[in-house]
Amino acid sequence: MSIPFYIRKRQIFAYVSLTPALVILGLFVFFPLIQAFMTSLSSGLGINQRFVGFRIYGSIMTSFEFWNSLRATLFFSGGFVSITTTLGLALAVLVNNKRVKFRNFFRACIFLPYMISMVVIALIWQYMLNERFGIINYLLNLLGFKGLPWLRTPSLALFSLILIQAWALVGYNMMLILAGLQGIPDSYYEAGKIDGATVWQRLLYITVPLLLPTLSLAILVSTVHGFTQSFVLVQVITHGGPLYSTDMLSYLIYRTAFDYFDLPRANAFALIGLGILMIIGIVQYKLEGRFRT
Amino acid sequence: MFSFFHKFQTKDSNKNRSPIIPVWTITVYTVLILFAVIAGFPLFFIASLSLQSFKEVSRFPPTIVPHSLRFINYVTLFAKGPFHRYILNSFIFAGTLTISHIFLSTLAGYILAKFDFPFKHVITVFVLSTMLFPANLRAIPLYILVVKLGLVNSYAGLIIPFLTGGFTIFIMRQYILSIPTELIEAARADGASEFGIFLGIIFPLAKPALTVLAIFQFTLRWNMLLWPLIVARGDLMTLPVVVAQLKGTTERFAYWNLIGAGSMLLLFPTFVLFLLLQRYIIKGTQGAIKF
Repeated sequence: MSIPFYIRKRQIFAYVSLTPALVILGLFVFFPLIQAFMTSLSSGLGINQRFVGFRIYGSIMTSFEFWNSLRATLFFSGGFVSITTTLGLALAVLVNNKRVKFRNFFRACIFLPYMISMVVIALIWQYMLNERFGIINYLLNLLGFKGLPWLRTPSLALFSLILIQAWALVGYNMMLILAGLQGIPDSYYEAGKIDGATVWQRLLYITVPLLLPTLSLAILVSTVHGFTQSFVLVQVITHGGPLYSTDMLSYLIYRTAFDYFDLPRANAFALIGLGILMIIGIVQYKLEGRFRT
Repeated sequence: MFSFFHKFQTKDSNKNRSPIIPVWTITVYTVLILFAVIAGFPLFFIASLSLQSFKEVSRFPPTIVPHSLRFINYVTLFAKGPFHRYILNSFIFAGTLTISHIFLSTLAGYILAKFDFPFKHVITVFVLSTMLFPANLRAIPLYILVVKLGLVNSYAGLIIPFLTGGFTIFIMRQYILSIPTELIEAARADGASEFGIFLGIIFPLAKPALTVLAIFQFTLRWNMLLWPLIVARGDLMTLPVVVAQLKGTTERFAYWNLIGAGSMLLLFPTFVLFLLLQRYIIKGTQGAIKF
């Protein structure tokens, strides 16, 4: 026998041990995706199911609700990711400064919303953003500003959701970036100081370049987070929003399946969403490759 | 007050001495305090809401501090439905998944990290690629599958699809890679069984990563809305599903004090988890960077 018995024994152990995980992943991740693909190519359910090819995708591509949803999703994603990443970076830099007292307390406070269920976050912010009785507009009025219809206007509703989501997840981004920050050796900063660099120059030429891998990870994580968690916000607060302005893809999938019972279409939406996510992942991977020294 | 600034000035003797350091300090603290308040106030507000009376909660201007602490709101909430059952469901959902991830993902991560076998690369790609498929996109076909298996509205249907996941396997794999293989080889030379090695060596050594994994997994599943919303009905609902429905269709005249009470129930375990285990949570996010 070319392969010794003791190695064979190990390989058998490896395969046996992997089996539960592989079965679960295969059955509950891959198989549903293939199933989704098949369903999206057919019409009707159960007995009625018949193969109609890519007709549904054609109808989606010419539908208003799809492009509206895409617009809302991309707008939300872009706004959310940029706000949380910039704020996360700023807060991480501030919290990292060893001269700041109580920095652990600040760090804990800012991170806390991440641990709270999105349901609770959605409810409390809906209560606070009520344009007539909410506390936010009340405070604005006290300061002399006019209260805004945060969740009632198509133009403002999506923006409000971005702010709520950012509130929830900026702490997580901050922690992620903070970890990257702490990986930058102090000696780099010392060298910068000796060369006479100002605080801003050190930030721009030492910190940011060395942080790029961390930042790109933060951006990818934010994008996925934003996509998955946004469902809760829409489901609890806006149900698609004033005039479909907050009808994001994650919610569109859900309501097509469970409000309209159009499973093939819902599956098609899900697969399109998956495609977009994979494109973003690949783009991010390629960009990161270019930044690595 | 002056000694406060004086301390800063002596430490800065190596840097370019700028007379505007106090202004910098003020900005930094202002920003941090501002964000801490922005982060903390809504949570304080929920607690306050949960103790207000219906009149106070519907009042304008809004009440920030309740006049009397109406703990009876919680009693009223429990009278509205079998909340003890909902809380139990959430614990079962989150707890079972945490335990199964701890066990299955560590095992899978160990195999992928320390073993060599045909098709290893293919399998690794297969497993890790599942990280890219969030629950949102899998939910619909998963639901169809669960219906076909006859598992709708059962604990099994709720739990089984999420027993393990690419992300947790990835985390454990990365951590186990850093365990010296010599330890494993030595144990093998001593005649230990493969499974014995897993339980006796790998598992204890992986504890730091496992703690972090457990915390995040429990939090994630405790807070999860989408899947329980789709699969659970009636008595099987988990806490987020129930609390989300407390609002009903009206916003203005909803019982916001009861919603506050329900929210407090929902956020309490993860909040306590956070307070007690902050150290591990911080380590967890740091660990993610090292990949």
